Amino acid sequence: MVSYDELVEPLALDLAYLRLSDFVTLYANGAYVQVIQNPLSLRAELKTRGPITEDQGRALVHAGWREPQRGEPVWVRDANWPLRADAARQLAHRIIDAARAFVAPDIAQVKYNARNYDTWEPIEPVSLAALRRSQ
Amino acid sequence: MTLRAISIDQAARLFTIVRDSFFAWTVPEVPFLLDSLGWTLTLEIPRTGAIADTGWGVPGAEAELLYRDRTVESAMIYATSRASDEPADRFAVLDVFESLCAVAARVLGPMSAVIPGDVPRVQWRGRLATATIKNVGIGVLIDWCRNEHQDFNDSIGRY
Repeated sequence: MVSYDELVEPLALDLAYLRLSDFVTLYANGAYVQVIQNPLSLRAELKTRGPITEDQGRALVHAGWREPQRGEPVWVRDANWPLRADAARQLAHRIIDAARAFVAPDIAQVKYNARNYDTWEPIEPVSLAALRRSQ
Repeated sequence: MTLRAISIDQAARLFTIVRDSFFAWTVPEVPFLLDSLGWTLTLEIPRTGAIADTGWGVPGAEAELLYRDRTVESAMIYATSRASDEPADRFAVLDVFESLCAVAARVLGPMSAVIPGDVPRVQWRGRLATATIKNVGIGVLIDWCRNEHQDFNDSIGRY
């Protein structure tokens, strides 16, 4: 079984090579964390199952997430494109940390969806292939 | 990590020549272009192309010129050595790509196209030619291409 920590490095490389409008969603239990390639940035979004504690919110803000805004019921974190290595690793870390904390503590529960938003064609990032093999 | 890349100063000089050169993309002008770049012709096949040593001290960092009769269609410039499969090298490619894009933006101004994907690319289209920085995973290339040839490549999805 692949672990969350083992996903970070391969996910970081995958993030650097997404096509425009490619997205990757990790979801379970009504919560998700996802990332989409925009023209000049990658946007990560986190939707929690319900209200989170103040400590959890502070931790998310500290990790670079922006609080949900009116009409945008998700936490958001943007990274400029092209990604440098440290930015790719940091974004992957934040996505995996969010998945572990707010989607499912056990990676075995996590499902994923990876597609191009414009064409709806599935994509197969290497990191998620590792996740698929382990499920 | 074994990846080696051209320096920021070398890149800035190259992009400055890309910006300021009067090169009109003819084969007879090639010696003058190479002289301005400080490059040395190492092989030339008439009507087909040429290879130039960039003198950057980076293994494999040469330039390949593509000819069509008396026209120069493109110059493919290798800005890095070939990356290994090791993660350190693959991540280093990301840093080189971003750094070269930043240098090019400082010298050439706003980019004309940004193309994320399997081969991430950023382009600056000038009056006669287009400069494209490409992350090909195992390295970073700078493709300086006559606009007509660039348009042809785009039309057939070749990058």
